[in-house]
Amino acid sequence: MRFYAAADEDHKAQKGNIYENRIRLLMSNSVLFYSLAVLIISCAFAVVFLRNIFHAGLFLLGAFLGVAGIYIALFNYFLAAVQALVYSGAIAVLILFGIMLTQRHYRKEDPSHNAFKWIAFVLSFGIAGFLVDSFRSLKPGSIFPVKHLLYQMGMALMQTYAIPFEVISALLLVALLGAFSLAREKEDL
Amino acid sequence: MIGIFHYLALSAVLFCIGLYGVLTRRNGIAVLMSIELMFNAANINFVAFSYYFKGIHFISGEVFPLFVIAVAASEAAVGLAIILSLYRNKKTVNVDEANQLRG
Amino acid sequence: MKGSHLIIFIPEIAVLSLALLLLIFDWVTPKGKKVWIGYFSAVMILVFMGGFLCLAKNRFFPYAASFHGFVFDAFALYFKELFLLVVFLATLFSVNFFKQDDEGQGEYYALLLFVTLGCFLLVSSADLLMLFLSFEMMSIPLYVMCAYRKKDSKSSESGLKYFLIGAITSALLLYGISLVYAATGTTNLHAFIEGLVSANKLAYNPILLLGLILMLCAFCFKIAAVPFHMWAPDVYEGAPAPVVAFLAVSPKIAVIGLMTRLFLAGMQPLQPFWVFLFAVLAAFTMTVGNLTALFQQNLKRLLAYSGIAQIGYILVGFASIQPFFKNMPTLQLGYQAILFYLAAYLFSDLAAFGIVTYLSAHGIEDVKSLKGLAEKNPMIAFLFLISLLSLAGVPPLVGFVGKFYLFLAAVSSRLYWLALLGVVNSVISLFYYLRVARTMYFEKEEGVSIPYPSFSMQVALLVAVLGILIIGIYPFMITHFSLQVLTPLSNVPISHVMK
Repeated sequence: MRFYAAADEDHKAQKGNIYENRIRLLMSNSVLFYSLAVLIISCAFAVVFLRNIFHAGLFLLGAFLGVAGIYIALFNYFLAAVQALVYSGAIAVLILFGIMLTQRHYRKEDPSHNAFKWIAFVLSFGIAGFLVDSFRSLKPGSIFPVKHLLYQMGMALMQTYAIPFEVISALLLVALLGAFSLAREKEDL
Repeated sequence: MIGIFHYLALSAVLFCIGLYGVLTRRNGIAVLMSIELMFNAANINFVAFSYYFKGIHFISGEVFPLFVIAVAASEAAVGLAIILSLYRNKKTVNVDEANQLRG
Repeated sequence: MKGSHLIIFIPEIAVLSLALLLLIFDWVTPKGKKVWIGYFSAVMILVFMGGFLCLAKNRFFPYAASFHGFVFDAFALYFKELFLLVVFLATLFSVNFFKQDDEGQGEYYALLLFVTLGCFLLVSSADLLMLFLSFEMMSIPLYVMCAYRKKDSKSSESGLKYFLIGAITSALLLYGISLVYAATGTTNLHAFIEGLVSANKLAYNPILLLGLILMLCAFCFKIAAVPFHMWAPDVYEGAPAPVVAFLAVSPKIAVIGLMTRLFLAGMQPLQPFWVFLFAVLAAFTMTVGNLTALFQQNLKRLLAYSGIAQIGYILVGFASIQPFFKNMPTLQLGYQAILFYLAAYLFSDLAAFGIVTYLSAHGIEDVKSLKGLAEKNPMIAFLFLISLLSLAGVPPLVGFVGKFYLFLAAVSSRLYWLALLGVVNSVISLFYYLRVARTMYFEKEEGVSIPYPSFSMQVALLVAVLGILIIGIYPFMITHFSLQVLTPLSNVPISHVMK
């Protein structure tokens, strides 16, 4: 309880220069956001359009880092660190290894996309347009970051989400077990 | 000014680029990469909502992506193991070349 | 959380510890002596089934309790017993299927139990985060199990297909959840449902509707409802037969259970929308499943399409859910019919897949190669006949009673066309089931007789077929139970949360 009271006083003390803060926040955020959005979207396009799968993997790494930047723009620094470490550091690298292990029989003249290219294009970007249109009704919402977010996240993980936290540990064990038993060279059954 | 709409529009576009990749890519690993893009889009949604609408349950939006990242990691691990095992058998990772199962 | 609250997690803890124990046993048992692990697992599962029933009868046991997104009630317990039954039978099917070369057996049985754990959590989840995680917990081990025959390229291919479809499903589910979170500001199902009930206009929020539709698409993928059914026959054909037996039943039951909880607990404001949607889904799923099954030659593909049709019948139950009478939840014939039909589907489908497992171990995969089975092995032919007739819905068997309840529910909510379509579909389905029976009984072929199934397979088939017969003749044990299960679910105030 005392923790929150302290946070409250902290907030009151800052209320004086709230307007100035707000302007600074908005300015920095829009520059950050637009540059990140351009980075993410162009990397994502490269991932799905590039013929060379290894290059696509490298651009995937870029998209993941851009999303980490988005978390920074939303003031969740911890999530940004986790994104950079796990997504870019582990998952993207895992995928790159997978690509390198399976490229021996790569044939250059093979098409990289199937025949539904145009139907899929219309379908997916139609859905995107519909989604963006339906988001227009939302109110802009508040813009100030939460105080002591990391503390609250930790409390949530240990209290409200204690059971999911246990479940995810079991899930990681299952993934380890499954990946190991499949990737092992020896024949099992 | 940057509001919730911008983040959601970004995530919607990212989701649909991922969807396009899933529908059209022939390489299994490329499909997996596109799916990862879709996961990231959903994560952006969660964080943006919880940041802009600080309701009583705002913390679930901040915590959800942590779990999603763990799930994505385990899914990628299992998926790559399966793709490798297919590659060992058939020397291909293309989804539409794996077509022994047709009725 | 006090220590005493751990009691509501006993089923999950038991299954998880058994899975870990099997891993340890696999590690310490020398190569070539691992067959007992499967038997041990089966026996322990039986013990759990009995134990959970006693637990439910214990008067100290909470009637319905929840802990932050995890609910324990009689409804969940009903489904947990069903999952234990499925994993029991699947374990017994696997024991002699996998005995030739016995590396990795403990892992296999542990993976079966991990899927069961995911199903347990799914029917108990009351939070979207929990829902997502248990959905993954249910799917990820199954991807591995489909690809478990590593030298068989068909098995790898089936694993890849199931993995890609499953990953797309989880991406859709996740995006749907994020939109639902956007529209309601919460991931807690109770808070979310109360919000829906109190603010009726939320239902017409496009973001919420879109989120719910994406989630529904993900569920339809998992239960293989038409238009999301294309993966099922391919995956079933390639995967090892006992895995298919498990895969065709457990995840489907879990997702149907989750949907039942969602709708019973509070999708009522969206009622008219759902009824129409489910009626159309049910009609297409039944018809497409049955009509395509007419042309199948491979036994597993035949059963895959037949399973799609069965899901169509269950969706009839969802379509016939009537507007909510707060004090008379037991009048909801649709829910009862769904719960009953799940048990019927479990026994009939597992009996059929058990026999397919046994046959595929002896190299019989097609309908054509069933010729003369009645002479080579009359007992197996007879059991197969019973399970197929039960799937078709022929009177003294459990499938008939289940379909009767479902169509009765449809008639009672004035969906006459849907009930009629269901009956027509059942007649169509008789054609292909009887085609298999004719091949077994009336087409002669000289050949070596097939050896009788091993002990474990005999026990499993006996349990499944006895279930078909006994529940078919005396259905009231299940209907009685399903009434007990449903009543508290709709009477207990849903916001009652143990903190």
